[in-house]
Amino acid sequence: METELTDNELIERVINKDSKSLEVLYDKYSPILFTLIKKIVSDKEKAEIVLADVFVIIWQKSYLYNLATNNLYAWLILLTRNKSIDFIKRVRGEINDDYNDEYEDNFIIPKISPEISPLEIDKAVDKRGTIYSAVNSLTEAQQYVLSLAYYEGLNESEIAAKLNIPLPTIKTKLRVVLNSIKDFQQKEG
Amino acid sequence: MIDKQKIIGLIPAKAIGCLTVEDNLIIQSYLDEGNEFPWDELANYQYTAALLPLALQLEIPEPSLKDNVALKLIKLTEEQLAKKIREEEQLTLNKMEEETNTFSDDNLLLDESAEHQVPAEESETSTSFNLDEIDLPEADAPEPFILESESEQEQESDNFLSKENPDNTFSVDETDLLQETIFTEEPIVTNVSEETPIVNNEESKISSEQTTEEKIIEENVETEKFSTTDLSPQVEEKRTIDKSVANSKFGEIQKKTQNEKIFKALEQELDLLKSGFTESEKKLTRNLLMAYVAIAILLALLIFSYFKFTADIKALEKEVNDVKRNTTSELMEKKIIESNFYFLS
Repeated sequence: METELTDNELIERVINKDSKSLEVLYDKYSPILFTLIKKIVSDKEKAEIVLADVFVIIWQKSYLYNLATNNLYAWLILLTRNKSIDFIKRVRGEINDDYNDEYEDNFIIPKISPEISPLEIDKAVDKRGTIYSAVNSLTEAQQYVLSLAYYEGLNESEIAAKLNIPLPTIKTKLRVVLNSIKDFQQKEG
Repeated sequence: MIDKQKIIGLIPAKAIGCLTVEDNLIIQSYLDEGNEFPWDELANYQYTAALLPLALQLEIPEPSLKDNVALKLIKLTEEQLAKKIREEEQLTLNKMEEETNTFSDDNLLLDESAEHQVPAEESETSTSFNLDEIDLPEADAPEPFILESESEQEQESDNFLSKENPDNTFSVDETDLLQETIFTEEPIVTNVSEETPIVNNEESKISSEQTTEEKIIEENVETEKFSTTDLSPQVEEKRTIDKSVANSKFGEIQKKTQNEKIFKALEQELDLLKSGFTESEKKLTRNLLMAYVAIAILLALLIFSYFKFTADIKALEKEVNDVKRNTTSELMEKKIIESNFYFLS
Protein backbone atom coordinates (compact mmCIF):
# COMPACT_ATOMS: atom_id res chain seq x y z
CA MET A 1 0.00 0.00 0.00
CA GLU A 2 1.40 3.35 -0.98
CA THR A 3 1.86 5.41 2.16
CA GLU A 4 2.00 8.71 0.31
CA LEU A 5 -1.70 8.60 -0.48
CA THR A 6 -3.58 11.69 0.61
CA ASP A 7 -6.42 11.49 3.08
CA ASN A 8 -8.92 12.07 0.32
CA GLU A 9 -7.44 9.31 -1.82
CA LEU A 10 -7.53 6.96 1.14
CA ILE A 11 -11.15 7.64 2.03
CA GLU A 12 -12.10 7.34 -1.62
CA ARG A 13 -10.66 3.83 -1.57
CA VAL A 14 -12.44 3.07 1.68
CA ILE A 15 -15.68 4.17 0.03
CA ASN A 16 -14.90 1.54 -2.60
CA LYS A 17 -14.50 -1.01 0.21
CA ASP A 18 -10.73 -1.29 0.11
CA SER A 19 -9.89 -2.74 3.53
CA LYS A 20 -6.17 -2.01 3.16
CA SER A 21 -6.90 1.69 2.89
CA LEU A 22 -9.02 1.48 6.02
CA GLU A 23 -6.04 -0.05 7.74
CA VAL A 24 -3.77 2.78 6.62
CA LEU A 25 -6.38 5.24 7.82
CA TYR A 26 -6.45 3.46 11.16
CA ASP A 27 -2.68 3.71 11.47
CA LYS A 28 -2.77 7.41 10.69
CA TYR A 29 -5.77 8.47 12.76
CA SER A 30 -6.13 6.03 15.65
CA PRO A 31 -3.81 7.93 18.05
CA ILE A 32 -5.61 11.27 17.79
CA LEU A 33 -9.06 9.68 17.72
CA PHE A 34 -8.24 7.44 20.67
CA THR A 35 -6.93 10.44 22.62
CA LEU A 36 -10.14 12.33 21.98
CA ILE A 37 -12.36 9.37 22.88
CA LYS A 38 -10.40 8.67 26.04
CA LYS A 39 -10.78 12.28 27.11
CA ILE A 40 -14.56 12.07 26.63
CA VAL A 41 -15.31 8.60 28.01
CA SER A 42 -12.42 8.63 30.51
CA ASP A 43 -11.99 4.87 30.49
CA LYS A 44 -9.51 2.92 28.39
CA GLU A 45 -11.72 -0.09 27.78
CA LYS A 46 -14.70 2.01 26.78
CA ALA A 47 -12.48 4.16 24.61
CA GLU A 48 -11.39 1.04 22.75
CA ILE A 49 -15.00 0.02 22.20
CA VAL A 50 -15.89 3.47 20.86
CA LEU A 51 -12.83 3.56 18.60
CA ALA A 52 -13.83 0.23 17.10
CA ASP A 53 -17.37 1.57 16.61
CA VAL A 54 -15.99 4.67 14.93
CA PHE A 55 -14.05 2.58 12.44
CA VAL A 56 -17.12 0.48 11.74
CA ILE A 57 -18.99 3.72 10.95
CA ILE A 58 -16.13 4.86 8.73
CA TRP A 59 -16.25 1.53 6.90
CA GLN A 60 -19.99 1.64 6.44
CA LYS A 61 -20.76 5.33 6.05
CA SER A 62 -17.67 6.80 4.40
CA TYR A 63 -19.82 7.52 1.35
CA LEU A 64 -21.43 10.31 3.38
CA TYR A 65 -18.12 12.19 3.49
CA ASN A 66 -18.03 15.08 1.04
CA LEU A 67 -14.82 14.59 -0.93
CA ALA A 68 -15.04 18.20 -2.14
CA THR A 69 -14.28 19.53 1.36
CA ASN A 70 -10.87 17.84 1.30
CA ASN A 71 -10.83 17.90 5.08
CA LEU A 72 -11.12 14.34 6.25
CA TYR A 73 -9.42 15.34 9.49
CA ALA A 74 -12.32 17.57 10.58
CA TRP A 75 -14.89 14.98 9.48
CA LEU A 76 -13.24 12.22 11.50
CA ILE A 77 -12.65 14.36 14.59
CA LEU A 78 -16.21 15.64 14.71
CA LEU A 79 -17.61 12.18 13.94
CA THR A 80 -15.56 10.67 16.77
CA ARG A 81 -16.56 13.44 19.14
CA ASN A 82 -20.26 12.94 18.36
CA LYS A 83 -20.00 9.17 18.74
CA SER A 84 -18.17 9.43 22.06
CA ILE A 85 -20.66 11.95 23.46
CA ASP A 86 -23.52 9.72 22.33
CA PHE A 87 -21.85 6.77 24.03
CA ILE A 88 -21.44 8.46 27.42
CA LYS A 89 -24.92 9.94 27.26
CA ARG A 90 -26.37 6.49 26.66
CA VAL A 91 -24.30 5.12 29.53
CA ARG A 92 -25.68 7.88 31.74
CA GLY A 93 -29.19 7.16 30.47
CA GLU A 94 -29.57 10.64 29.00
CA ILE A 95 -30.30 9.31 25.51
CA ASN A 96 -32.90 6.61 25.04
CA ASP A 97 -33.55 6.98 21.32
CA ASP A 98 -33.07 3.90 19.18
CA TYR A 99 -29.65 3.82 17.60
CA ASN A 100 -30.49 3.19 13.99
CA ASP A 101 -29.27 4.27 10.58
CA GLU A 102 -31.36 7.40 10.55
CA TYR A 103 -30.17 8.43 14.00
CA GLU A 104 -26.56 7.82 13.03
CA ASP A 105 -26.89 9.84 9.85
CA ASN A 106 -28.53 12.75 11.65
CA PHE A 107 -26.68 12.94 14.94
CA ILE A 108 -23.38 11.12 14.62
CA ILE A 109 -22.17 11.83 11.09
CA PRO A 110 -21.11 15.49 11.02
CA LYS A 111 -22.28 17.87 8.34
CA ILE A 112 -19.12 19.67 7.41
CA SER A 113 -19.48 23.04 5.73
CA PRO A 114 -18.47 22.85 2.07
CA GLU A 115 -16.49 26.07 2.61
CA ILE A 116 -14.08 24.52 5.12
CA SER A 117 -10.36 24.83 4.39
CA PRO A 118 -8.58 21.61 3.46
CA LEU A 119 -6.59 19.91 6.19
CA GLU A 120 -4.74 16.62 6.51
CA ILE A 121 -3.66 14.83 9.67
CA ASP A 122 0.06 15.51 9.10
CA LYS A 123 -0.51 19.24 8.79
CA ALA A 124 -2.90 19.24 11.75
CA VAL A 125 -0.32 17.55 13.98
CA ASP A 126 2.13 20.32 13.13
CA LYS A 127 -0.30 22.74 14.77
CA ARG A 128 -0.26 20.92 18.11
CA GLY A 129 1.99 23.40 19.86
CA THR A 130 -0.04 26.36 18.68
CA ILE A 131 -3.37 24.86 19.71
CA TYR A 132 -1.99 23.87 23.10
CA SER A 133 -0.80 27.42 23.67
CA ALA A 134 -4.09 28.84 22.41
CA VAL A 135 -6.12 26.70 24.81
CA ASN A 136 -3.78 27.48 27.70
CA SER A 137 -4.08 31.18 27.00
CA LEU A 138 -7.79 31.00 27.83
CA THR A 139 -8.93 31.80 31.33
CA GLU A 140 -9.79 28.87 33.56
CA ALA A 141 -13.48 29.75 33.27
CA GLN A 142 -13.30 29.81 29.51
CA GLN A 143 -11.49 26.49 29.48
CA TYR A 144 -14.14 25.04 31.74
CA VAL A 145 -17.02 26.20 29.55
CA LEU A 146 -15.22 24.82 26.52
CA SER A 147 -14.63 21.52 28.26
CA LEU A 148 -18.28 21.23 29.30
CA ALA A 149 -19.44 21.88 25.76
CA TYR A 150 -16.87 19.93 23.79
CA TYR A 151 -15.81 17.05 26.00
CA GLU A 152 -18.85 16.55 28.19
CA GLY A 153 -21.47 17.17 25.55
CA LEU A 154 -23.59 19.62 27.51
CA ASN A 155 -25.66 22.01 25.46
CA GLU A 156 -25.72 25.74 26.10
CA SER A 157 -28.79 25.66 28.37
CA GLU A 158 -27.33 22.82 30.39
CA ILE A 159 -24.07 24.71 30.83
CA ALA A 160 -25.99 27.83 31.85
CA ALA A 161 -28.00 25.84 34.36
CA LYS A 162 -24.94 24.07 35.70
CA LEU A 163 -22.97 27.27 36.16
CA ASN A 164 -26.02 29.27 37.16
CA ILE A 165 -25.39 32.05 34.68
CA PRO A 166 -27.63 33.43 31.92
CA LEU A 167 -27.81 31.59 28.59
CA PRO A 168 -26.73 34.61 26.49
CA THR A 169 -23.55 34.85 28.53
CA ILE A 170 -22.71 31.25 27.72
CA LYS A 171 -23.36 31.89 24.03
CA THR A 172 -21.03 34.89 24.09
CA LYS A 173 -18.42 33.02 26.03
CA LEU A 174 -18.33 30.14 23.56
CA ARG A 175 -18.02 32.55 20.67
CA VAL A 176 -15.19 34.39 22.41
CA VAL A 177 -13.39 31.12 23.20
CA LEU A 178 -13.54 29.84 19.63
CA ASN A 179 -12.57 33.21 18.20
CA SER A 180 -9.62 33.42 20.57
CA ILE A 181 -8.32 30.02 19.49
CA LYS A 182 -8.94 30.83 15.84
CA ASP A 183 -7.15 34.20 16.09
CA PHE A 184 -4.27 32.73 18.05
CA GLN A 185 -3.83 29.99 15.51
CA GLN A 186 -4.00 32.42 12.59
CA LYS A 187 -1.47 34.68 14.26
CA GLU A 188 0.93 31.82 14.90
CA GLY A 189 0.34 29.83 11.78
CA MET B 1 -38.65 35.04 8.76
CA ILE B 2 -35.56 34.25 10.81
CA ASP B 3 -32.94 36.93 11.15
CA LYS B 4 -29.57 36.01 9.62
CA GLN B 5 -27.76 37.64 12.55
CA LYS B 6 -29.50 35.26 14.89
CA ILE B 7 -28.32 32.33 12.80
CA ILE B 8 -24.76 33.65 12.83
CA GLY B 9 -25.03 33.84 16.61
CA LEU B 10 -25.88 30.15 16.74
CA ILE B 11 -23.01 29.04 14.51
CA PRO B 12 -20.28 28.61 17.20
CA ALA B 13 -22.49 26.33 19.26
CA LYS B 14 -23.47 24.41 16.12
CA ALA B 15 -19.81 23.93 15.19
CA ILE B 16 -18.89 22.72 18.64
CA GLY B 17 -21.98 20.49 18.87
CA CYS B 18 -23.70 22.04 21.87
CA LEU B 19 -26.79 23.60 20.32
CA THR B 20 -30.04 23.26 22.20
CA VAL B 21 -32.84 21.35 20.48
CA GLU B 22 -34.77 24.59 19.90
CA ASP B 23 -31.79 26.35 18.33
CA ASN B 24 -31.17 23.33 16.14
CA LEU B 25 -34.76 23.56 14.90
CA ILE B 26 -34.31 27.28 14.18
CA ILE B 27 -31.27 26.52 12.00
CA GLN B 28 -33.11 23.68 10.31
CA SER B 29 -36.14 25.82 9.46
CA TYR B 30 -33.83 28.62 8.27
CA LEU B 31 -32.20 26.15 5.90
CA ASP B 32 -35.57 24.73 4.84
CA GLU B 33 -36.76 28.22 3.94
CA GLY B 34 -33.95 28.31 1.40
CA ASN B 35 -32.17 31.27 2.96
CA GLU B 36 -28.54 31.98 2.37
CA PHE B 37 -26.68 30.10 5.10
CA PRO B 38 -23.39 31.48 6.46
CA TRP B 39 -21.40 28.42 5.43
CA ASP B 40 -18.07 30.26 5.65
CA GLU B 41 -18.75 31.16 9.30
CA LEU B 42 -19.62 27.57 10.07
CA ALA B 43 -16.54 26.39 8.18
CA ASN B 44 -14.25 28.59 10.30
CA TYR B 45 -15.69 27.40 13.58
CA GLN B 46 -15.77 23.76 12.52
CA TYR B 47 -12.12 24.01 11.50
CA THR B 48 -11.24 25.40 14.93
CA ALA B 49 -13.40 22.86 16.75
CA ALA B 50 -11.64 20.03 14.91
CA LEU B 51 -8.26 21.31 16.06
CA LEU B 52 -9.16 21.28 19.78
CA PRO B 53 -8.17 17.64 20.51
CA LEU B 54 -4.63 18.49 19.42
CA ALA B 55 -4.19 20.26 22.74
CA LEU B 56 -4.58 16.94 24.57
CA GLN B 57 -1.72 14.69 25.60
CA LEU B 58 -1.54 12.12 22.83
CA GLU B 59 -2.29 8.50 23.75
CA ILE B 60 -1.50 5.55 21.54
CA PRO B 61 -4.05 2.72 21.54
CA GLU B 62 -2.94 -0.85 22.23
CA PRO B 63 -1.72 -2.64 19.09
CA SER B 64 -4.21 -5.43 19.83
CA LEU B 65 -7.03 -2.93 19.32
CA LYS B 66 -6.36 -3.04 15.61
CA ASP B 67 -7.17 -6.75 15.67
CA ASN B 68 -10.31 -6.05 17.66
CA VAL B 69 -11.43 -3.53 15.06
CA ALA B 70 -10.77 -6.08 12.34
CA LEU B 71 -12.67 -8.71 14.33
CA LYS B 72 -15.59 -6.36 14.81
CA LEU B 73 -15.74 -5.69 11.08
CA ILE B 74 -15.59 -9.41 10.33
CA LYS B 75 -18.28 -10.13 12.91
CA LEU B 76 -20.44 -7.45 11.41
CA THR B 77 -19.92 -8.83 7.93
CA GLU B 78 -20.80 -12.32 9.06
CA GLU B 79 -23.93 -11.07 10.79
CA GLN B 80 -24.98 -9.28 7.65
CA LEU B 81 -24.28 -12.38 5.63
CA ALA B 82 -26.30 -14.54 8.01
CA LYS B 83 -29.12 -12.02 7.87
CA LYS B 84 -29.05 -12.11 4.10
CA ILE B 85 -29.16 -15.91 4.08
CA ARG B 86 -32.03 -15.87 6.59
CA GLU B 87 -33.95 -13.43 4.43
CA GLU B 88 -33.37 -15.52 1.32
CA GLU B 89 -34.51 -18.64 3.10
CA GLN B 90 -37.53 -16.83 4.46
CA LEU B 91 -38.35 -15.79 0.92
CA THR B 92 -38.03 -19.36 -0.32
CA LEU B 93 -40.22 -20.57 2.52
CA ASN B 94 -42.82 -17.93 1.70
CA LYS B 95 -42.74 -18.99 -1.94
CA MET B 96 -43.16 -22.61 -0.94
CA GLU B 97 -46.07 -21.68 1.29
CA GLU B 98 -47.67 -19.74 -1.55
CA GLU B 99 -47.21 -22.70 -3.86
CA THR B 100 -48.74 -25.06 -1.35
CA ASN B 101 -51.61 -22.64 -0.88
CA THR B 102 -52.36 -22.58 -4.58
CA PHE B 103 -51.99 -26.35 -4.66
CA SER B 104 -54.52 -26.77 -1.86
CA ASP B 105 -56.86 -24.33 -3.61
CA ASP B 106 -56.67 -26.45 -6.75
CA ASN B 107 -57.44 -29.47 -4.67
CA LEU B 108 -60.43 -27.71 -3.25
CA LEU B 109 -61.74 -27.03 -6.74
CA LEU B 110 -61.16 -30.60 -7.80
CA ASP B 111 -62.90 -31.86 -4.74
CA GLU B 112 -65.85 -29.61 -5.34
CA SER B 113 -66.31 -31.08 -8.79
CA ALA B 114 -65.90 -34.59 -7.45
CA GLU B 115 -68.42 -33.98 -4.68
CA HIS B 116 -71.24 -35.15 -6.94
CA GLN B 117 -69.65 -38.52 -7.45
CA VAL B 118 -68.27 -39.38 -4.03
CA PRO B 119 -70.20 -39.78 -0.83
CA ALA B 120 -70.46 -36.74 1.45
CA GLU B 121 -68.14 -38.10 4.14
CA GLU B 122 -65.43 -38.85 1.64
CA SER B 123 -65.72 -35.44 0.06
CA GLU B 124 -65.34 -33.80 3.47
CA THR B 125 -62.11 -35.61 4.10
CA SER B 126 -60.74 -34.64 0.74
CA THR B 127 -61.60 -30.94 1.16
CA SER B 128 -59.79 -30.87 4.48
CA PHE B 129 -56.63 -31.87 2.66
CA ASN B 130 -54.70 -28.66 3.12
CA LEU B 131 -50.95 -28.52 2.65
CA ASP B 132 -50.85 -25.51 4.91
CA GLU B 133 -51.27 -27.81 7.81
CA ILE B 134 -48.17 -29.70 6.94
CA ASP B 135 -45.30 -28.51 9.08
CA LEU B 136 -42.30 -27.78 7.00
CA PRO B 137 -39.06 -28.91 8.62
CA GLU B 138 -37.59 -25.96 10.45
CA ALA B 139 -34.24 -27.55 10.97
CA ASP B 140 -33.09 -26.23 7.63
CA ALA B 141 -33.64 -22.64 8.61
CA PRO B 142 -30.66 -21.16 10.45
CA GLU B 143 -31.24 -19.86 13.92
CA PRO B 144 -31.28 -16.07 14.19
CA PHE B 145 -28.07 -14.55 15.39
CA ILE B 146 -28.79 -12.46 18.41
CA LEU B 147 -26.09 -11.05 20.58
CA GLU B 148 -27.89 -11.14 23.86
CA SER B 149 -24.88 -11.04 26.07
CA GLU B 150 -23.84 -7.45 25.67
CA SER B 151 -24.65 -5.11 28.52
CA GLU B 152 -27.41 -2.63 27.91
CA GLN B 153 -25.07 0.23 27.29
CA GLU B 154 -22.95 -1.77 24.93
CA GLN B 155 -25.99 -3.07 23.14
CA GLU B 156 -27.18 0.42 22.59
CA SER B 157 -23.86 1.59 21.34
CA ASP B 158 -23.49 -1.44 19.12
CA ASN B 159 -27.02 -1.43 17.85
CA PHE B 160 -26.03 -0.34 14.42
CA LEU B 161 -24.04 -3.50 14.03
CA SER B 162 -27.21 -5.50 13.83
CA LYS B 163 -28.71 -3.34 11.13
CA GLU B 164 -28.50 -4.03 7.51
CA ASN B 165 -26.40 -1.67 5.53
CA PRO B 166 -28.10 -0.99 2.22
CA ASP B 167 -24.92 -0.23 0.36
CA ASN B 168 -22.80 -2.81 1.92
CA THR B 169 -21.39 -5.22 -0.57
CA PHE B 170 -19.36 -7.41 1.69
CA SER B 171 -18.71 -10.86 0.48
CA VAL B 172 -17.23 -13.83 2.28
CA ASP B 173 -14.13 -13.37 0.20
CA GLU B 174 -13.92 -9.79 1.32
CA THR B 175 -14.20 -10.84 4.90
CA ASP B 176 -11.44 -13.32 4.48
CA LEU B 177 -9.36 -10.73 2.72
CA LEU B 178 -9.96 -8.23 5.47
CA GLN B 179 -9.09 -10.77 8.10
CA GLU B 180 -6.01 -11.77 6.23
CA THR B 181 -4.80 -8.25 5.58
CA ILE B 182 -5.56 -6.71 8.91
CA PHE B 183 -4.28 -9.56 11.01
CA THR B 184 -1.02 -10.05 9.22
CA GLU B 185 0.13 -6.48 9.38
CA GLU B 186 3.03 -5.31 11.48
CA PRO B 187 2.41 -3.15 14.56
CA ILE B 188 0.91 0.28 14.14
CA VAL B 189 3.22 2.90 12.78
CA THR B 190 1.74 6.29 13.12
CA ASN B 191 2.60 9.52 11.53
CA VAL B 192 1.82 11.24 14.76
CA SER B 193 4.85 11.61 16.97
CA GLU B 194 4.17 10.57 20.50
CA GLU B 195 5.78 13.39 22.34
CA THR B 196 5.59 16.62 20.55
CA PRO B 197 7.07 19.18 22.85
CA ILE B 198 4.50 21.73 23.68
CA VAL B 199 5.91 25.19 23.45
CA ASN B 200 4.36 27.38 26.04
CA ASN B 201 4.18 30.55 24.14
CA GLU B 202 4.57 33.34 26.54
CA GLU B 203 2.09 36.07 26.91
CA SER B 204 -0.20 35.49 24.05
CA LYS B 205 -2.96 37.06 25.96
CA ILE B 206 -6.29 37.11 24.34
CA SER B 207 -8.32 40.09 25.12
CA SER B 208 -11.07 38.67 27.20
CA GLU B 209 -12.02 40.46 30.32
CA GLN B 210 -12.61 38.69 33.56
CA THR B 211 -16.26 39.36 34.00
CA THR B 212 -18.24 38.73 37.09
CA GLU B 213 -19.69 35.61 35.50
CA GLU B 214 -16.22 34.27 35.10
CA LYS B 215 -15.60 34.63 38.75
CA ILE B 216 -18.71 32.63 39.43
CA ILE B 217 -17.55 30.00 37.00
CA GLU B 218 -14.12 29.84 38.59
CA GLU B 219 -15.76 29.19 41.91
CA ASN B 220 -17.61 26.34 40.27
CA VAL B 221 -14.40 25.13 38.73
CA GLU B 222 -12.85 24.70 42.12
CA THR B 223 -15.74 22.64 43.35
CA GLU B 224 -16.29 20.57 40.24
CA LYS B 225 -12.83 20.36 38.61
CA PHE B 226 -13.55 18.92 35.19
CA SER B 227 -15.30 15.90 36.63
CA THR B 228 -15.51 13.19 34.06
CA THR B 229 -18.05 10.42 34.05
CA ASP B 230 -16.99 7.55 36.23
CA LEU B 231 -19.10 4.47 36.22
CA SER B 232 -20.01 2.67 39.39
CA PRO B 233 -18.03 -0.50 40.17
CA GLN B 234 -21.20 -2.59 39.74
CA VAL B 235 -21.52 -1.42 36.17
CA GLU B 236 -17.84 -2.13 35.66
CA GLU B 237 -18.22 -5.64 37.05
CA LYS B 238 -21.27 -6.26 34.90
CA ARG B 239 -19.36 -5.15 31.87
CA THR B 240 -16.51 -7.59 32.56
CA ILE B 241 -18.98 -10.44 33.00
CA ASP B 242 -20.87 -9.40 29.92
CA LYS B 243 -17.67 -9.25 27.97
CA SER B 244 -16.73 -12.82 28.83
CA VAL B 245 -20.25 -13.96 27.98
CA ALA B 246 -20.01 -12.03 24.74
CA ASN B 247 -16.75 -13.78 23.95
CA SER B 248 -18.28 -17.20 24.48
CA LYS B 249 -21.35 -16.17 22.50
CA PHE B 250 -19.12 -14.97 19.74
CA GLY B 251 -17.55 -18.43 19.59
CA GLU B 252 -20.99 -19.97 19.35
CA ILE B 253 -22.01 -17.55 16.64
CA GLN B 254 -18.86 -18.31 14.72
CA LYS B 255 -19.56 -22.04 15.03
CA LYS B 256 -23.11 -21.57 13.84
CA THR B 257 -21.97 -19.42 10.96
CA GLN B 258 -19.42 -22.04 9.99
CA ASN B 259 -22.02 -24.79 10.15
CA GLU B 260 -24.29 -22.67 8.06
CA LYS B 261 -21.51 -22.07 5.56
CA ILE B 262 -20.79 -25.80 5.35
CA PHE B 263 -24.48 -26.51 4.90
CA LYS B 264 -24.70 -23.89 2.16
CA ALA B 265 -21.59 -25.27 0.47
CA LEU B 266 -23.05 -28.79 0.58
CA GLU B 267 -26.28 -27.56 -0.88
CA GLN B 268 -24.40 -25.79 -3.63
CA GLU B 269 -22.37 -28.91 -4.33
CA LEU B 270 -25.53 -30.99 -4.51
CA ASP B 271 -27.02 -28.51 -6.93
CA LEU B 272 -23.85 -28.64 -8.99
CA LEU B 273 -23.95 -32.44 -9.03
CA LYS B 274 -27.58 -32.38 -10.06
CA SER B 275 -26.95 -29.99 -12.88
CA GLY B 276 -23.88 -32.01 -13.90
CA PHE B 277 -25.95 -35.17 -13.97
CA THR B 278 -28.67 -33.59 -16.11
CA GLU B 279 -26.03 -32.21 -18.40
CA SER B 280 -24.31 -35.56 -18.85
CA GLU B 281 -27.67 -37.27 -19.37
CA LYS B 282 -28.43 -34.84 -22.16
CA LYS B 283 -25.01 -35.42 -23.65
CA LEU B 284 -25.48 -39.16 -23.57
CA THR B 285 -28.83 -38.96 -25.35
CA ARG B 286 -27.33 -36.67 -27.97
CA ASN B 287 -24.40 -39.02 -28.50
CA LEU B 288 -26.69 -42.02 -28.77
CA LEU B 289 -28.76 -40.28 -31.40
CA MET B 290 -25.63 -39.40 -33.30
CA ALA B 291 -24.49 -43.02 -33.13
CA TYR B 292 -27.85 -44.23 -34.45
CA VAL B 293 -27.66 -41.80 -37.34
CA ALA B 294 -24.10 -42.85 -38.12
CA ILE B 295 -25.03 -46.52 -38.06
CA ALA B 296 -27.98 -45.88 -40.35
CA ILE B 297 -25.76 -43.99 -42.78
CA LEU B 298 -23.19 -46.78 -42.69
CA LEU B 299 -25.84 -49.40 -43.33
CA ALA B 300 -27.18 -47.39 -46.25
CA LEU B 301 -23.67 -47.08 -47.62
CA LEU B 302 -23.13 -50.83 -47.23
CA ILE B 303 -26.32 -51.68 -49.03
CA PHE B 304 -25.55 -49.19 -51.74
CA SER B 305 -22.02 -50.50 -52.22
CA TYR B 306 -23.31 -54.10 -52.24
CA PHE B 307 -25.68 -53.36 -55.05
CA LYS B 308 -23.09 -51.32 -56.85
CA PHE B 309 -20.46 -54.03 -56.61
CA THR B 310 -22.89 -56.68 -57.74
CA ALA B 311 -23.82 -54.57 -60.73
CA ASP B 312 -20.16 -53.89 -61.48
CA ILE B 313 -19.27 -57.59 -61.25
CA LYS B 314 -22.09 -58.45 -63.60
CA ALA B 315 -20.97 -55.80 -66.05
CA LEU B 316 -17.41 -57.04 -65.87
CA GLU B 317 -18.49 -60.62 -66.41
CA LYS B 318 -20.42 -59.54 -69.42
CA GLU B 319 -17.41 -57.65 -70.71
CA VAL B 320 -15.17 -60.65 -70.18
CA ASN B 321 -17.57 -62.84 -72.08
CA ASP B 322 -17.64 -60.32 -74.91
CA VAL B 323 -13.89 -60.14 -74.99
CA LYS B 324 -13.68 -63.89 -74.99
CA ARG B 325 -16.12 -64.16 -77.85
CA ASN B 326 -14.25 -61.54 -79.85
CA THR B 327 -10.86 -63.13 -79.37
CA THR B 328 -12.09 -66.53 -80.54
CA SER B 329 -13.48 -65.10 -83.79
CA GLU B 330 -10.30 -63.05 -84.32
CA LEU B 331 -8.14 -66.12 -83.80
CA MET B 332 -10.26 -68.09 -86.23
CA GLU B 333 -9.86 -65.37 -88.80
CA LYS B 334 -6.07 -65.24 -88.24
CA LYS B 335 -5.80 -69.02 -88.64
CA ILE B 336 -7.61 -68.89 -91.97
CA ILE B 337 -5.31 -66.12 -93.24
CA GLU B 338 -2.23 -67.90 -92.05
CA SER B 339 -3.32 -71.16 -93.69
CA ASN B 340 -3.99 -69.30 -96.93
CA PHE B 341 -0.53 -67.77 -96.75
CA TYR B 342 1.19 -71.09 -96.30
CA PHE B 343 -0.87 -72.58 -99.05
CA LEU B 344 -0.01 -69.84 -101.56
CA SER B 345 3.67 -69.81 -100.68
